[in-house]
Amino acid sequence: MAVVGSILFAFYAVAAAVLLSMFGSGVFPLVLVGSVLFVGVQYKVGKWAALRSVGAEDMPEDRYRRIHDRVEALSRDMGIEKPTLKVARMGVPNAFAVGRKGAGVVVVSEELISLLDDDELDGVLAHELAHIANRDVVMMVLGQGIASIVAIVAQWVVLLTGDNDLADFFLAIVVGQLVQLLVMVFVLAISRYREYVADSDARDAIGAGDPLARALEKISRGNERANDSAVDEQVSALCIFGDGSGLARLFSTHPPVEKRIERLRA
Amino acid sequence: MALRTLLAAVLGVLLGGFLLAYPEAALRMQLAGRVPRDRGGEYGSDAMDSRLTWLVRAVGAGVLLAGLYFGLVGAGLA
Repeated sequence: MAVVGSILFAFYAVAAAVLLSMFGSGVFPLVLVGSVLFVGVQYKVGKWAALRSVGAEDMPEDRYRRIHDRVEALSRDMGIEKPTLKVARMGVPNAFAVGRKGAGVVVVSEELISLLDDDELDGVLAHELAHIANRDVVMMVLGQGIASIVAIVAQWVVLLTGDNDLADFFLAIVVGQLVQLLVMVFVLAISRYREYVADSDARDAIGAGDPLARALEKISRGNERANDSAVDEQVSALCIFGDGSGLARLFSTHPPVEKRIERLRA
Repeated sequence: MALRTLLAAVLGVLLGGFLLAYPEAALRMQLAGRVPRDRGGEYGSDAMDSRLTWLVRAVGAGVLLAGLYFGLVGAGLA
């Protein structure tokens, strides 16, 4: 992963060097401040939009006492502050984490709470807490930020070296997208690796890998049934389980569920 | 044929083809880091909203057609 991280940094360094060579070393502070602002805004807007899009509400302590207690204990074990807990009706069993250490939020869907047994839910919660503890959310925002910055620089290089005709504008857009695609291959490789790390940390935190493995199996089985029977088209539209293998796998944020289960039980 | 027009044609067709063949991957590339990893669908999955994937396919078709157009322009046929 150090290699992949270094490659990401190299992409950013090349983009910054191109800007410096075009506009002179005087723009260096501007490039630096601009990059930090760009990533910061993405982080803030992303967190706000994610919570708003699922209609997440504060998880009432009286109704979900056990979850609050478990998250508090797990957070203590992992050395992080207890994140804000939110609950949402998402239509599918799901949970996700946003924010950073000290300002984290974990959202759990009502469907997930009703589907899983207590120990399986603990596994999922520990996995999400591990993402916060490992700063995975921030890392992904940073990765996407680098990809976007490099893509924007590539676009401007094409624009500023061309004749500004229609073909040039089109070429700039296409080059920007392809460059972002290339950088994101490395970001997504890190993302898949971080999923395994979060699984491993969750296993350490709850003392066994089997509960999280069972949770993944349950959700996976339920999803297959939903896709087969098409009981609820609205739900099925949101439940396409990965998209196969080969090139598509290169662009996955998550490793295959079967491999995660295998590792959790190893 | 001007080099940049040829490049616009070739890369446009490539990108359009990719968006048509792998709309979910293209969407994930745009959304990763901007929305939480697990938010899109079920827990542990790489699920994407099928309505958005159709939008990506439509954009892909547009990019592909634009690439073909610039190919024709470059060849002096349009």
